[in-house]
Amino acid sequence: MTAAKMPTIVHNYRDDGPLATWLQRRLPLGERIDPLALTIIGMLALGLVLLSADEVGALAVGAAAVFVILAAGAGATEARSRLAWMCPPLLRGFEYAVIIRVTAMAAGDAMPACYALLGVLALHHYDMVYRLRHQSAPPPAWINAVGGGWDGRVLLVVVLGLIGGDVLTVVLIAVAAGLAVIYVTESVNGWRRYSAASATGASVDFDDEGLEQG
Amino acid sequence: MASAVAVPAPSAILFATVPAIDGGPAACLPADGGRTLLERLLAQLRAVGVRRAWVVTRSEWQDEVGRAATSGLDVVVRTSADVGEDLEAVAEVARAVDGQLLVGIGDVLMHQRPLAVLLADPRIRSGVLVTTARGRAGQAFRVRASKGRLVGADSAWHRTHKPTGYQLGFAIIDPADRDEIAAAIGRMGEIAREPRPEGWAEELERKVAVWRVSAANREAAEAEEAREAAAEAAAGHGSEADQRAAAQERVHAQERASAAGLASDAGGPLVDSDTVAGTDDGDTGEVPLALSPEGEERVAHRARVAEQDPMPLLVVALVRSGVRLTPGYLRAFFQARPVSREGATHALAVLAERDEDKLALASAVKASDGFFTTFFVSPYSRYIARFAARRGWTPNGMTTVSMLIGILSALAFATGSRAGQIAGALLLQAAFTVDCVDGQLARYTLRFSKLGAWLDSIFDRSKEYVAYAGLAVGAARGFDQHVWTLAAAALTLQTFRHMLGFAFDGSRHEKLHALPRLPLERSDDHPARPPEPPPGAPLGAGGAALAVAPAPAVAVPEAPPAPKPPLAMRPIRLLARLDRYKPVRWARRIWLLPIGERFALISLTAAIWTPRTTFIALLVWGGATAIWGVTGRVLRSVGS
Repeated sequence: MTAAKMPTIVHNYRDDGPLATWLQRRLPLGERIDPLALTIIGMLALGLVLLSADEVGALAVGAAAVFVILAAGAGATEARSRLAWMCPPLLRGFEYAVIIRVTAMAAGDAMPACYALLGVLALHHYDMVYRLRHQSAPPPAWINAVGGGWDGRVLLVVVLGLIGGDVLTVVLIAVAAGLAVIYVTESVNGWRRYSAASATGASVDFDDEGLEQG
Repeated sequence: MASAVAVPAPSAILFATVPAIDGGPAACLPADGGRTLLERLLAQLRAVGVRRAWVVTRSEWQDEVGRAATSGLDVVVRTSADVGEDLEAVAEVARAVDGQLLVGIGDVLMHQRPLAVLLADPRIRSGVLVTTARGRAGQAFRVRASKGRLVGADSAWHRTHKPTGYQLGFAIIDPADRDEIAAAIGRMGEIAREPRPEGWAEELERKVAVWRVSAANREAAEAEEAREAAAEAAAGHGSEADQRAAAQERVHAQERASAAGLASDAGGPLVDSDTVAGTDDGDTGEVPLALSPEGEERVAHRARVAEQDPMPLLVVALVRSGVRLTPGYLRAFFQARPVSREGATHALAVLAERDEDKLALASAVKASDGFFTTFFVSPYSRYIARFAARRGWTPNGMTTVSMLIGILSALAFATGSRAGQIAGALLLQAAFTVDCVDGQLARYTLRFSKLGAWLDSIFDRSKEYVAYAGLAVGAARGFDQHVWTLAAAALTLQTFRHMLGFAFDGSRHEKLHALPRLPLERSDDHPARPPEPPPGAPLGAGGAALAVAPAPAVAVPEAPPAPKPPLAMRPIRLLARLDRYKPVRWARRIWLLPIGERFALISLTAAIWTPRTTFIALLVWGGATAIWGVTGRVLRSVGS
């Protein structure tokens, strides 16, 4: 994505990692094909492979690559589709589901560690939304790069699932702990900087619970 | 840029340009304690932190207004010939002040708090005081709000389609928006001078005609009422209960009337039916009207007021300036614009009956919240909020306490015993109550902070997911259940549901940002409507509201069938219609499983059954609601 173009709110919610950002430039599929359709096709590819086997195989790694290419390319533009806003929630739910499924297949006992990682990721994903809302600016771009984005994490988890349960368990714990420290520190520092600047930013009173929507 | 500079004190500019019915400026009508309305208002502004004020009036009233405007504030009186010059004065002042600028009417009797909220609420940067309650609107012009933003407004010469509320004569201008807004107001000032743009005179004529219709309807209704009362008195029946009900209805009507500000002048209910959304487009056609001389005089005065009040024009300029404009709601507070001494006396009496602190506490409760929160928590949590306020506790302190109680709840769940489950359930409810208190405390004490809002949201999510973890630990320890996968699934589902709302709102937000800016000259803001309104435009949704008025003497022409909405929007429209029924509305809100209901579900299932039941309940209910949420939002996106 070019620096000149302001990312939209919906784009900010995607949490693209460096890989997805690179793919969007090189393979902007979303400019030609409906982004939601691309995302769903990618999800079906990886989802069916993961559900049809009892353990993670090489096929799953290939399917994960296909998912990342399609879903990343879908983020090339939000302007094309009226339903492009569906992509961030789907990416979120699907990423978490892949982490759960791979953990269940490769290291069933590591589910508490998996839960801890999901909790940390959720903290980051809510922080993205709430910071944009209350500070009128999303967290800095490097934080998304450090987290790897949904793209990096899905690939990592599937590859680790292929390598073995013990490695997966260790990495789940290490990543959860490491990211927790980074996210919390960055968020606190972000608020320090913001309070110091004491700027009066716009705040939009969105309705968390969607009470006013169907 | 990063240096913390002291925020400059807010300033205000008020208009004493509207005439009272017996002559003289309405702003100089007597209020309480020998003060005029204007003096009372200036004192209120001083109390909420305003340090400098300008009062704009007509040259013939300069002395009278100048005498009134000698309160403790630094007040400058300026004169102006008409609404156009009024607006140019605002543009000039706006460019000259550094802090927030409150612009408003001087001829008003109201509670102080709505003004304090306009200045203090960080969600309102630039905004307008509005109400959605017809009974509180008096003769106010209308506005249209969409997704927390004002997007349309009426003035004497402008017309907004699909109005959602009424503007109440006060606007706040944020320093960040100052230049853009000053430019728009200045331009509107130029445009509003004679000769006015094409279509403006016709629009005012149309409005005056509608006012005559409503005045005639009101007179007919009053006559009907008088006849009925006379007949009843003659027949000699009507039980005591009936009489009490009737008396109560009269008090009600009087209250509404005084909110309209004209109470004693009118001597009867004065809820303007033309300010009902339904008669918005009511075309008066050539219907002959019989109006009493007093009625004629009221309509004529209303037209004079409309032509001398620059606020609606200013609001139109704000809306069309492209600046994000937030509605600030009057809620249950009182406001009236008396036009006579009797009107002022009456309004003052009503004002005296309303306890401002009580209303402030009530208004600290979120206007739109879940069922469980509204009926099982807020009724008593507001008193905890007042208790906390009197002890000087901070909202952020309460937020932190709530998180700590949430952690205790998770620890109790983690014991894996029945007693632990019950304790965890109770603690979770306690955490939720304290969580409601923090917001109410912030709104009650007007101590808003963005950090506080962020902390509140983040801790809400953390409490819930920590509780899931506690339940999963307890399940393994005490119930021999391995539910970590279920817990992870519940977390995923809930995050998905939230993200669904965030992303959809985000896309809507951008759509609003992309709204075309209307030229200030254009009278009618309907995108499709030709400049000349067609005869017999649609009656709209207010028909039901109109039906309460007994037998209108003048029929509003039959509406042509409205164009059919896109297929995808039909279920949405149907639900919106059903939503008018309170039980349906509440049922739908419960079904959406907002935080109060979710926490109640967790507590209840955990206390009675096992953690597995809790997660299955969350997944089944949450899953169904997620499908519902996706469907509804997709239909909206496709259909609009």
